[in-house]
Amino acid sequence: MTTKTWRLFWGSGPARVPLQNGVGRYVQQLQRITFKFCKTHGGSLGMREYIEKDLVEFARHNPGVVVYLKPRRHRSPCLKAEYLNGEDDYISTQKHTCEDIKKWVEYLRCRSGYPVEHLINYHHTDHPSIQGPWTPWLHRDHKLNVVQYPNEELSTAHKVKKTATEELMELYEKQKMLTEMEKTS
Amino acid sequence: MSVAGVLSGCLRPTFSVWRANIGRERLASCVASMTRLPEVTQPPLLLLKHATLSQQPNLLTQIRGLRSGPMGWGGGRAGVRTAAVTQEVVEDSEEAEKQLSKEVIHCVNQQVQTGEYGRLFAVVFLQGKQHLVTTGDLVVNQGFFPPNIGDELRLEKVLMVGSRDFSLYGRPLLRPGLVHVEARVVEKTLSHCRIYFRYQRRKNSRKSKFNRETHTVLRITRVEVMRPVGEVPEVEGIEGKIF
Amino acid sequence: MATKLKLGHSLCTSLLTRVARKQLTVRNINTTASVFAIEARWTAPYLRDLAKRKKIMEEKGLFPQDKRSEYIEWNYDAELYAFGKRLQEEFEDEVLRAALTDASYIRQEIQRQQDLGVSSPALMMSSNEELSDGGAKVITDYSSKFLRAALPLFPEEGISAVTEYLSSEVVLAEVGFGIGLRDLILCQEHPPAPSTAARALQAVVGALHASSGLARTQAFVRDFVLAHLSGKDINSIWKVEDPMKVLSGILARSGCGEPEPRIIFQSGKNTIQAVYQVGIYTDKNFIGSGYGETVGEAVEQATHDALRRLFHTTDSTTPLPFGPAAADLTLKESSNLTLQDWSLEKAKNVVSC
Repeated sequence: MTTKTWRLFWGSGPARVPLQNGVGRYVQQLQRITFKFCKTHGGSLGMREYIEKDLVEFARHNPGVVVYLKPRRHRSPCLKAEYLNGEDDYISTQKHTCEDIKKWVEYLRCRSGYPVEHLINYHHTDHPSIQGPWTPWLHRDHKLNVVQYPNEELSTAHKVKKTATEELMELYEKQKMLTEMEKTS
Repeated sequence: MSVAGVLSGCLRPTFSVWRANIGRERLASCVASMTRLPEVTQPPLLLLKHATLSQQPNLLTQIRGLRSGPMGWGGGRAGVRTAAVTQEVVEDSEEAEKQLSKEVIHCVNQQVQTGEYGRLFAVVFLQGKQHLVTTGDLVVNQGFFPPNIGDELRLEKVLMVGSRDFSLYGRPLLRPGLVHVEARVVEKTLSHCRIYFRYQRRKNSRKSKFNRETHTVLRITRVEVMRPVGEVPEVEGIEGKIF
Repeated sequence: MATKLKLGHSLCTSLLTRVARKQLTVRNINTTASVFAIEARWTAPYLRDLAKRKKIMEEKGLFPQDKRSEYIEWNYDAELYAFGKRLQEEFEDEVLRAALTDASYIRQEIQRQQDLGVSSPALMMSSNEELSDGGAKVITDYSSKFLRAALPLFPEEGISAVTEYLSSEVVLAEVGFGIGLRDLILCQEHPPAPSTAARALQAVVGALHASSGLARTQAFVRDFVLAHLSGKDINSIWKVEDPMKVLSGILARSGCGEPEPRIIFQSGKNTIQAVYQVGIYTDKNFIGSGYGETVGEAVEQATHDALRRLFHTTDSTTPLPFGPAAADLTLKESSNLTLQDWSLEKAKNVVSC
């Protein structure tokens, strides 16, 4: 599957954060998480272990997240996260170990809720230019505004380097000057 | 094309150092225009720095001449050298140059002290990449990054800071504590799934790898110049350290 | 079509829930590639038809939307507790409950009880009308004081326009939905209308005022409502009408000469891609410049730029203070200069914060 196909299915977009989060205070975007599991099935073993060991601590550290447990008979376990922007996320945890589930919970906790997309840029700004944008007229000589064309001086070829003749002329002048100085001294 | 050549406004063939070409009176006018800046900006609410109609040459027009390309008048036509070789006295303009830089630093410091520099932008170095940021920006850091959501960070490697009227460049970093760039971690997530697929034809060989790297989204909350420019503090490098 | 829809409503609902689930799984990052495999020739036309029906039903408002509070896993008390903790605020439980109860919900409940045969329904609920009035007052009051202090040279007309924008239904509803009121509001309709959400947000502000005092409430308004301005151009919210007239008025009152527009540069004259840069000068001093496809447009842009420079609302002016910087801000009670009074002399006397 090519990058293009991935973009077609999951879309692409700029980096964004809901509701200017972080400008004033930071608000955790995960609002509720549901652990769905079976009380007897082996596929939910890791999930049951997580609920026994780590869930209380998770709830204590995240008072802003409502935690729901939903036992269902003989169905595979999953995590369902709901975010403040109305989006939700689902992770299947069939046959996952406790450590795996811990990591997925942490992943869901830290997200903003927007669907995972191919980011088209890694930097977003609302103020692209503070010293003013570049224009072709920036630092251009104002005298050029009143030039009458065709202009003889501006039409000549632009020389960057000295020509060999000019170099020789300069050497000759220098030599002449030195000999004159010797003579006078 | 040398700086001096443009500043002097005419080209003199010379074998001596370039500095000789900066006419004293020319430099003096340049310095004077800097010192005149506060006057020119009266009343302070008007931004008169592009006073193109005014008769007085100010610093900006000088610089404009400096930057004009090869098509500009007075610049770029270095190849035409027809005047005779002349000798001239090399003037030591070091003092004048020092004075000029002093004036510029004074102008910057005035803005820093009154806080009139407005919105600042900064180039910060973060995890191997440079970002040009200003207050309110979002920066996505790719790869392993320890800070967690809600954490507040100060980005200490600042390469440059700029405002409407001035830009400060570090060599390569600005003095620690000169500029505060602060950020808040607003999201930690994983990127989209990247697929690395290798296939060799006629060899029954195909390998695919899947990778999702960590993305940390930072909100830049503050960019501020904390102390005057060009002043060396007695003790430095201890910001944020506990003794 | 309408009768068809009516007849096949239950069938449609089951199909649509299927398609909704299908779309969700397609969007999910952990889906395996088998989802994308071509199941049969009929799959795509079938999905396309379902999507078409879904669109029609959505337009008619018939598409069923799940109410989160009707799920098995729903605990309103826990949700309310988490609501306050999430926003790092302390709410009194009773007041918060009242703030999230819309008047329409109480009316609906009374009606329901009457239909069930209760002659005099007794409900121990109060609606959020009073709280929302109080909250709205705090929002407008604080917004205008904050903006006056942060933008001391911005004319009073602009301040009131921006305040009005901030307390508009659209902005308040966006903020309300953004802090998770969608599932918490008790109201008749579902999903809650923007007006209901806006009222509920105002009531939450009012509830916070009653619970934690004015300072906390102002910080709340700053972080959630005023933060909406971050990254937005304040000049696009309030546009000066007839800028040249305003500018010449200001310059005349300041004792400066008439504004004089002059072309600084131009390119592509008499072509479809013509562009002009015009500068505005007064007494041969530059005060602003702008670009345009015609000279008239460039002059207008330049005049706007000159006004922005006078009012200190250009791209390079200090950003609005949020976070710790906002705590040091002294709120400004008195109104800013109006457009009629604005002059350089008077602006010089304004103490900038």
